Amino acid sequence: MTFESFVEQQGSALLRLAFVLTGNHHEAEDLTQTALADVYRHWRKVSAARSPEAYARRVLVNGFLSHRRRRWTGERAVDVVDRDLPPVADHAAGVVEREALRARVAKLPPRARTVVVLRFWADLDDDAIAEAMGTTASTVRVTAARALAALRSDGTADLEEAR
Amino acid sequence: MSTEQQLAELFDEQARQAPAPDALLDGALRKVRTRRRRLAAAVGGTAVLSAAVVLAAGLSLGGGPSAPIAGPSPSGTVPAGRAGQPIAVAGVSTSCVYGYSPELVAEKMDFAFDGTVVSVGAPVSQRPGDPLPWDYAGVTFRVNEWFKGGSGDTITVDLPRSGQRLSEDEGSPSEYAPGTRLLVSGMARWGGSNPLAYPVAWFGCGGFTLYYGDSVADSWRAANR
Repeated sequence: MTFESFVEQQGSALLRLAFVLTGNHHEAEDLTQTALADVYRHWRKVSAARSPEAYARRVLVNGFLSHRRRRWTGERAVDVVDRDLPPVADHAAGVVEREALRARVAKLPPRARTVVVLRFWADLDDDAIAEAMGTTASTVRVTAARALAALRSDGTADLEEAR
Repeated sequence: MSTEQQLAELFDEQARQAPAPDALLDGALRKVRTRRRRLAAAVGGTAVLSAAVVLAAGLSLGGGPSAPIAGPSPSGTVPAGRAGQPIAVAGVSTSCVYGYSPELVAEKMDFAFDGTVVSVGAPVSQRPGDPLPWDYAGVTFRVNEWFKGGSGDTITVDLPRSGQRLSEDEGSPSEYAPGTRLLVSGMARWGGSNPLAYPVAWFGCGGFTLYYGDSVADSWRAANR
């Protein structure tokens, strides 16, 4: 497989993951391109690996987490919430509930957000999440449990980062 | 519905709004080239012979699957006689919160960059129910150099639509199209911690967004150091 064909096959999925993690078009593009640049530099090793896409995902997640460690202040700008939403049926209560959940997810610390995205959107098991985040499966379980509890109770302000 | 199901639906909805992956390959390769140029610059101050050796090693061992990457250098056009000039000149009746200076770009603006127009589309800084103060267009740039606020290869910023006059009987209208090279500075329209959220360019007041000119770019670079 060439690097170009890898980007063609996996680029869209990586970009979607970056977008769900960051909530911002430009950050998502920058994060994905930076991860792919790293993949390019190690392409011989990556292409020979059992799962090049898992390697790329790990690079992307690490990029997201290291960036957030530098910049996280407890709030995140989300530039897509109000734009280009597809037409939906008018279920007001559901919409309000969805927006409340969106706001609580946006307040999650970066590692907790990453765990819930990888588990509930990317549908990865704990071992795969642990590999992507460079941690252990037990830490993933603890982080996920705390994140879910915080999302249910809106106690995100008290949620500490589990490493 | 359980929280888990709600999360899955929320993330699905968000993923459907992800940008198109068209620019990924070019953007990734551009970052590789940038890194190599920085590496080259980093070793440039050492003795010529050793620098040549280190550079050669850096380039050959720096990874990558195949041949050297050829890519575009900063490029773009500027209307004749307008290099370094503001893209739009308002009449004397226009009042300004700040008069333009490179130092104010560094001090007050959230972002500043040298970019070449790639496309022109719908505004990006508008929220529902929010009337825009000007006839804006969302202008996508390929960024040649960031002076402040960003690091990506492309950015979409609201600018007054090309051809618009800032006052009815005075000044000159903004003029740009794909290929025009501008120096752009502005702010996140709604504030917040992300300098590029809902980005809108400042214009008029003698500057802030100008046609590209080497001396202006130098002054922005120096002011943002």
